[in-house]
Amino acid sequence: MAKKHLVVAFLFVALFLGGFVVNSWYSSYTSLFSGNFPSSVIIQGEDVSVEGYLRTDPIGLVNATLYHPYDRITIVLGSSDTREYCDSTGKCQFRTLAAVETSCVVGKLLGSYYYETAREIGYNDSAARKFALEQVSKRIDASEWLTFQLKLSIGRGEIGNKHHLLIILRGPLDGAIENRIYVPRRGVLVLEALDEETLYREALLIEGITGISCSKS
Amino acid sequence: MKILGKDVIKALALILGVMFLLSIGSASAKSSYIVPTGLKDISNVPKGFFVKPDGTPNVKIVVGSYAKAEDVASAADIAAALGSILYKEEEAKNIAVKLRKASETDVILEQVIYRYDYNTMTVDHNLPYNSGLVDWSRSYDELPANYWFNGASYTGNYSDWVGSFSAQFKVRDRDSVNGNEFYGWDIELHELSLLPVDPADWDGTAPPKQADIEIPSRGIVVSVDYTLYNYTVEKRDVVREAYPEWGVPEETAVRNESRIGNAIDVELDNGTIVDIISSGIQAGDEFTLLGAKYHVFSVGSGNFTAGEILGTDWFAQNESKSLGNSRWEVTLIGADPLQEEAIVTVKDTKTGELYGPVFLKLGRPKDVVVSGDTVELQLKLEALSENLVLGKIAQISGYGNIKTYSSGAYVEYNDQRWIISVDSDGRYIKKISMTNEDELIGNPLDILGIYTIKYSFNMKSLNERDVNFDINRDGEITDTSYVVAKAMITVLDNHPKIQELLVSVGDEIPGTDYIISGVAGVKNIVLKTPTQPITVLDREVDLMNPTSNYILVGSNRANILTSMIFGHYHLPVDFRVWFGEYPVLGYIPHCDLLNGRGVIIVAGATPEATRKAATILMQYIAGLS
Repeated sequence: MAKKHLVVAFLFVALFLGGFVVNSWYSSYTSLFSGNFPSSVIIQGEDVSVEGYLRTDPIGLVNATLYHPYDRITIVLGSSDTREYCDSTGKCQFRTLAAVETSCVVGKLLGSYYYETAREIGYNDSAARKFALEQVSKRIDASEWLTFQLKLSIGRGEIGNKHHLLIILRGPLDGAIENRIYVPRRGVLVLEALDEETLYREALLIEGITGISCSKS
Repeated sequence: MKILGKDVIKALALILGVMFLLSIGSASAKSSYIVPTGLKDISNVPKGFFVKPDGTPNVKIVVGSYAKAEDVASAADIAAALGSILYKEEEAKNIAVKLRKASETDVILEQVIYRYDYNTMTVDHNLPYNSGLVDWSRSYDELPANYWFNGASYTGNYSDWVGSFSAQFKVRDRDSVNGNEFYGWDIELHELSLLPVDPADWDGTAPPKQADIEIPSRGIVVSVDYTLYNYTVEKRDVVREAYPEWGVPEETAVRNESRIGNAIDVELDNGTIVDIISSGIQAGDEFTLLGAKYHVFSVGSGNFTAGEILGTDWFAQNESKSLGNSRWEVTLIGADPLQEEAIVTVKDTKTGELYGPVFLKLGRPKDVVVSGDTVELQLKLEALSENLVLGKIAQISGYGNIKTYSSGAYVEYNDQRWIISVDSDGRYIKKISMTNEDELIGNPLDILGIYTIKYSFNMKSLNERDVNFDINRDGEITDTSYVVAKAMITVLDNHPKIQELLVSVGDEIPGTDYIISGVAGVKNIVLKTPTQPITVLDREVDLMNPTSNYILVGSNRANILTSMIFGHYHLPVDFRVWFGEYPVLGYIPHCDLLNGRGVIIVAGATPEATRKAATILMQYIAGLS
């Protein structure tokens, strides 16, 4: 009998601890978006601010975040609410535009990096481009919609760190509270907008901030 | 054996059946996807379809107006793959990671317009050190009237300053012609005056404590020169580093970089003109003026006829919406693809007035609202199609306010009226200048969204006792405070200026724990700045003048352009029946619906199938060399 109680008590404690850990991961995920950040600048004429977790030039911080060679990059397209909205209404064009511009820019960033690496070891131009594309296809995941599990991985820091860049698109249905581009912690960049069209503009602003673009010039 | 044989036969029969079903297209053996009949397999797509030899993109991703969640993912995946090959390689000696850093608003001009202090008293006014400072002002009311800047020194009065003020700015890339070339502006500010917030508080001697800035009518002139040059800018490259221990000097080579721009760009870049590319804007060109887009119908001597481009949009039957951002709300009453015509009504949302019904014939412009010499609204039926979701749909474009602009005509910017002056020779518009008709008042005062002008006044006082010094040199140190004053006009650039910050590998970024790292000996990569996004909405593709090749993502339910192309090539309309769950990929080297541009269709009956098609395309791009 005592043994049985012990087992039950143990299970209870294990469940409780498990719940506690999951809860702390989850809340560290949600805390990414709640912060008032120590540094902020407004991009004039755009009604978008750029903010960062460090007391430094936030534009420099966005650049520092993107200009870092990561092993992997994940782009989160939105929450399940937006996903459902997209599927039920089919009105997802601006989210698509934002996602395409963003993933093209990071594809180019990482692609250039591997291209140079390949050139360095003697590949010719086209072989190096092929190598870059293979690496990018392997390392960039530009097609993730948020799931509970993904939230936990982010909260735990498994995604969104100095080896694994995380970019989150956060629109009106995903809980956006401002028009802003921000770096809430190392290896995480959030584009947050109160409407989908602004989210797209923010994706274009990233191209202006980094000076990298997939576009014609 | 027998059973196996039966299974084999069954399987064969099934395969044959499937092949028969798919006989509208060909199923690729390697990776199972379907190429709709009449379209080519993507293995025929050359690398040049995606990227030009100089590394710039030759393709745009067309996003469907009815995109679903998986379509977003498909398009983003393709974009990441494309991005990884879109750059230009350039030789560079130093290993560097290019970072850009933006500063806050930039001060373009800072002029102290009134200055009363020891320096201006003794230098500008030459007051003798011993006796001249006795009357040093003790309050705002005592500030003298003759310490305004007259263009050379602080010895003028208020009207001398007003008369002497002028400022000139040159701004890059403000307006464009045909969306491509960018033209700088020349801005001249002739006249500026102060408008005290409380006029009773100001007698015109010392600067007002608080004031608005006023630019009187015709006080500012903006001119755009449309002559386009090909010019070169000298760049210096290090071809050999210095080895000082051996006495080997650094060797540099001068390289001429070619650029295109108008006289302002040439001047700002300190370039050398090679030749003239274009003598100006011609009939048929599209250009922007103060941000509004115009289409030029004809060019006269000292005048031109143009209309504002309102935009192009798709309309479903009985759908009402505004054309672009204009005040015109168009309703598609009916469309007849066989007769190639559509019927619309138009509502002026400003006045509530209704026009029509109007018959629009395919490709023929129709003046819908005319008042006097001005065509207020002209509509054109650009295309007709049938869509599973929406039924009959029509693409309609429009121009507003078509009239002849000659010197003295008005254009509007933010409800301000600007008078234009046209320099044209019957063939080319060479130059357009604009001056403000309405006076501009405010503090800060916004100028065309580019600059902000601010006025500020600052007065400080210091007590002789506090510093134990005889400030007014009267021989006594008393409990008296003396004032100094300064008034300033500041012109700020509204757009944060991007400064290039070169950081080498190993450098730390100040204030962060980032260390720039890289591969030893790597070369620099030239990364260009954006002007045209790589994406375009299906509704916004210009069928008449497509600017690139296109990748269409999504089935005909999601993407209007895919739907049109399927209609045009008589391809099956119902994806589910014809293609089942298979990914669909097709290549059209020269699509006559898009003026001969190339098209890749990435589709599927379900978004998941589209997703698979996207993955296959990515694998194909990866194999290109």
